[in-house]
Amino acid sequence: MKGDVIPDPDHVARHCKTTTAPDGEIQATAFMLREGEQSLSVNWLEELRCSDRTSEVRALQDLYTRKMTRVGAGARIAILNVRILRTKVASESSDRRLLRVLHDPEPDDSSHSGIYEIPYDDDLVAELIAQVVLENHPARA
Amino acid sequence: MTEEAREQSFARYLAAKKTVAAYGLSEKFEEVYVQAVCVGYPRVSGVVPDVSIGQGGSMATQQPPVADEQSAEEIIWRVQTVLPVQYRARLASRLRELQKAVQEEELDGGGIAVGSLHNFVELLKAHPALRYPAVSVTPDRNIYASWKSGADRVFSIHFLPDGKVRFVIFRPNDKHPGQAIRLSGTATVDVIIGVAAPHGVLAWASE
Repeated sequence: MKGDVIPDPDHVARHCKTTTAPDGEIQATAFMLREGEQSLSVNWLEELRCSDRTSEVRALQDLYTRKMTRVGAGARIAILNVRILRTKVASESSDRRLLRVLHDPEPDDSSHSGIYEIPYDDDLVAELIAQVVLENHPARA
Repeated sequence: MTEEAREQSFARYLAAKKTVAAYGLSEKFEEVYVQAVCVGYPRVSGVVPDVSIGQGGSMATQQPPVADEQSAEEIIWRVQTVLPVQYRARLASRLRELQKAVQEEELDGGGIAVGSLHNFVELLKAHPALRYPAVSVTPDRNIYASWKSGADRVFSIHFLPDGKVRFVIFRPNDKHPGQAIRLSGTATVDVIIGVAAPHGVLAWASE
């Protein structure tokens, strides 16, 4: 349901554009907000209800193909654990920032979610998030 | 035509187009340029029968207006000539890839913010000892350069189009092994290396 807190043991996936992943290596720019954005779009993996990670990645690739005009050849999927993400930022950011990861379903994307409280004008949090990427997969099948 | 020859040709085309535009003659540019290329001139000089130059002054005394805007393609072209030879070809190639990817992935077809790209290249030009950075593009289409050596040695610069920068530094805390010092802030592109150097970033960001 919209606004539900995603539990700490769960995982979210971020679509990282080609421009944020030189040579396939995901950079902090993948976790930065555009001016005016309130949250960073992600997908709640457990909400996809797949049996394993391979199926989840395939489901995400299908979803991106359906939702986006174009999925770049070098685009990647970054997988993050909610607890590790929140703990990292809370313990290492200067203001002990508490990120919130909330379910934000859309009509054509029931697993859509958002990471809230990422600052727009300070790139340190994005650098911290980039350090806790658990897995890195191609965004295009 | 080889790739290199094509690039040189494109650069000449851009330079010629800018020169012609500066004189307010851009409407006839394509015609002029094609004629010049067909007869084998190395560059457009403006000498074509039905095109007049300037508004009454002679070429001997009139200085062409200085173009205040460069395109991203022109800046990327310049990378190949003004930056350190160790990485300039690789960086130009990377920037071309990024420009193409931004144009393809953004709905409006726009590219990298030109001011940001310009400031990035100027910084590398002013500090030739800096190593080749990981270069990516922010959601606002600015250049973001990172020099990293493990999780506790990070130096990243976010180049804003107006000459300001945001930076992030992670470095080991020498007095407390296993601990890191993390800081971030804003500065201007002309002073950022001076601001960051006391934190030891050049140990991993430069040769």
